[in-house]
Amino acid sequence: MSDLIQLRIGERPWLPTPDTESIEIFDRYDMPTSGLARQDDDFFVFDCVEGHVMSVNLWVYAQVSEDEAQALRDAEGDEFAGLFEQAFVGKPVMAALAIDCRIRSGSQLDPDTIAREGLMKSILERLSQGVEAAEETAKVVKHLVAC
Amino acid sequence: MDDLGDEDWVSQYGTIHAPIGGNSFKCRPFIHEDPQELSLLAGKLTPDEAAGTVNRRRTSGALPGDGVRHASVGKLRSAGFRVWRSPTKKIAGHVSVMPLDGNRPWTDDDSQRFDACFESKAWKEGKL
Repeated sequence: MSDLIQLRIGERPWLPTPDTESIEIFDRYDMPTSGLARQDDDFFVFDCVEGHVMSVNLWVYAQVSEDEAQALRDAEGDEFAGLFEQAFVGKPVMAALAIDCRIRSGSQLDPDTIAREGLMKSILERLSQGVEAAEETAKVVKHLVAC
Repeated sequence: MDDLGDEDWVSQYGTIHAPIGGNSFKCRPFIHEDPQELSLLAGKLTPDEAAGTVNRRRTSGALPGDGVRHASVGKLRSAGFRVWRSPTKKIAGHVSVMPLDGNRPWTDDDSQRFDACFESKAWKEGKL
């Protein structure tokens, strides 16, 4: 049993591997934006946290137990909103960046950082690290191209 | 939930910031998606209302450059679209729209007729 969802580059964020089974779509806006999926016997919730109408969007995934999954499916309104938020607390969370509805990269978020800084700040921190690393790599590649 | 009347208004949420498909307001579903429908929101919403409805993490509303456009349900129906309430767990006012003749890829003509139904736009002012 893995704590983290498996992602594959090029797949859709709401079905992040070819073998992922969609259990329920909780929310949509032109595309599924939150829901419940299964990989083997493991259940995961997913949520688009930003970029709902942009070509680039950010997603988070967290594992839930079968009981938690059922509770989410049964809940409505404020009860659902509360359960859904709790599903991402105190556990490893996978974040993914998608472009044109296809996963381009993924990275694990640390539960302690989420607890200390909040989910969105944790994502921003990881994004910033990626941007800095990409900029450094671009400098090297630019140098190689110029040689 | 009651169906929408022809006199009801719907809003479409969009953005100028790297929008999906290159247009500030989406005018056709992705070709590979099923069902082939677009999302709208019930009511004549402001950019702040639409942003907070679509993304509950937008507690302060829209970002500068986000916008909405409005259409009457009757105009969409007259233009050949089926329009119906399709609430989700978090968006009670979610509305779906697709061509009257069913779940098929949208044509260029569908997109043009859809775009032509919208009568007003509103943008969130400011700089990002």
